[in-house]
Amino acid sequence: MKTTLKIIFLFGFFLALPVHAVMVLHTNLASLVADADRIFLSKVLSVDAGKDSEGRECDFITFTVSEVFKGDVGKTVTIKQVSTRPTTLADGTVVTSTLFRGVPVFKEGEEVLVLLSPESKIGFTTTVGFDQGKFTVVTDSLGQKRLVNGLGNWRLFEGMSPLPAYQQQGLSATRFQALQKNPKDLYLDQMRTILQTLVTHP
Amino acid sequence: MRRLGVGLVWLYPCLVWGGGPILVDTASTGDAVVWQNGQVTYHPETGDSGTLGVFSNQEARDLIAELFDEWAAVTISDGQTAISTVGLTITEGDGLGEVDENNINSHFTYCPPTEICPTTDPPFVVGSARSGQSPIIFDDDGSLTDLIQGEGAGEEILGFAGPRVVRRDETQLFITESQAILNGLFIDCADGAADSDPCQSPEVSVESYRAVIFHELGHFLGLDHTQVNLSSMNAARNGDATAQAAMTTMFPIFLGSFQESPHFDDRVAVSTLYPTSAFLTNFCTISGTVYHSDGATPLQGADVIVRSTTSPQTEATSFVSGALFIGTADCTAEAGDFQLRGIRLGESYTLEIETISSNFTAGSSIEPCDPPASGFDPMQLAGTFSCTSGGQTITSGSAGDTNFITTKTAAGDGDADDLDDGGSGSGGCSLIR
Repeated sequence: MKTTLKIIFLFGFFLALPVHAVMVLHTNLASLVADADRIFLSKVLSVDAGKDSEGRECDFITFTVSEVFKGDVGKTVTIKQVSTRPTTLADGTVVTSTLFRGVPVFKEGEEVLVLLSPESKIGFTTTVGFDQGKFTVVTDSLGQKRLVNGLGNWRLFEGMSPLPAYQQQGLSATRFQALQKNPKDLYLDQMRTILQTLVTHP
Repeated sequence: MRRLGVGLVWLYPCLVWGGGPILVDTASTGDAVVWQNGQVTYHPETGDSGTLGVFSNQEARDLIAELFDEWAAVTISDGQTAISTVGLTITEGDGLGEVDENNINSHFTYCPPTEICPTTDPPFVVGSARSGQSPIIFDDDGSLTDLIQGEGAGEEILGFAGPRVVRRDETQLFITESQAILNGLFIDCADGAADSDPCQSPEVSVESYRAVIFHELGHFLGLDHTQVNLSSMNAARNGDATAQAAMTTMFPIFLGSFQESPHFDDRVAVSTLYPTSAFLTNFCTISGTVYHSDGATPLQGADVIVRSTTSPQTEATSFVSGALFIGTADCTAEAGDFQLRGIRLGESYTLEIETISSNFTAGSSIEPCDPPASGFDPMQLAGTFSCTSGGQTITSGSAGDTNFITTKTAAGDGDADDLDDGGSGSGGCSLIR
């Protein structure tokens, strides 16, 4: 699944890569889900700058999990991510993080849906596709929860088909196609349906 | 995006986006942070194992040198002659040796072996630093990217680069070290590899990857993203040569190998950071301020674009109002100044403003405002602007001055535009990080 989708993106109609200081492939939600080993809805409990056991400076981000879509996830999850903070040394030298611009920045208290890459051999991880895999929950003027990732959901559903399983759970093909056209109009309930389907029927 | 504590603001550089510097010295009134005297020394990975996809180590190093030379050799035409406008001297320094999973830890250490290392707070740094090294690491198979960003990241990330260490020399802040990691997994297929070959996932053409590296080296030098001609993006993706000529190297969306050729906007941006005297004396600057609709309060975060009337797509450059001043999350800083350089004698130009795409928030947000500044209409000033002598700063044109007093009409919602709107009609995004 993952391979096929990426080839389509690269060699089919879509060779467009959102670039930060980090240049990352744009991938659709199906690919993000396939690449993630943990997907959950949560609140960011804490963001702590620290060092790992090898002395590498990093950010420890702890989530309070409210709903799990994929993977073995407990009530809380802590990830170790490359540091996105500048550091000033005693002599005034500043170590910037422009190198990692594009790595998602988490804020304490924000509600997020995260799709996490598997941890590396040295324990680092972040969201799949960087800020493509971090969805912030926002409540609209009608009190409904929407999700938006760091690219404003840009082309999030491109190349995806309205699966019958969506319709079985109340998301019609017409509504899915409307989402493809206006991915910013992504409600949490719709995302639940799509995620559950993609995880169950990869 | 990082927000800085008030007590620390004086010292930190601030990230900015907008066809100019990637860092601004917040201790100043808005100085770009650049390599001192335009002198750049980089340190590539060396050794037989230091390959980059299909490139041997020597080939990869030759490619880096070639692409750096392209940045240093940028010219801008004055209408008759190509003027050398960039004062950069870029040199390959000592090699890093081979960098792999087994020794990458040593490259996390900030303290060089020639100094007494601190026992606390060694910053996480990929590649060595502080010793003056600016590493360019060839991640041949994506494994180093995986190590740093999580398993599988190597299949998503083509490379990353940017200034890493800045230091104050008396009053001015300079880049002293930058870093780049380039992922060879994206160019590891030999010529003629079958579509079904596992090497194809992921893969881009070598020509495209050259443009990727060229873009990343722009960051290495301190350049930010820029975006003019968003409306040409989709046509450029579809192969329209005219539209492709309108796209910038430092555009935030990678579209294809044609982006290796720097657009006028890229040329002006790098020339502004590292100007030769010829750039300063042969070309002019259009300067002004964007105001809120009250006509008095400066508006930060509007993209100001100048276009020549002769070649409005290919001779256009942009600057985000107030980009040289540290922003606030709600974009309330009263800074709306802009300076558009590279204006040539005898040519007429138009001036316009646009909103920034609302697609880009949070991790993709656009400085100095997150979310992007909104609540104003795109507009073009009446008349044209031109200069009569090199080095002139232009503040007025044929029908008025260069200042914008923004409006918000009933027809326009004043909100930042969606990227897929393509910037048509109501403008588009200008600086997406």
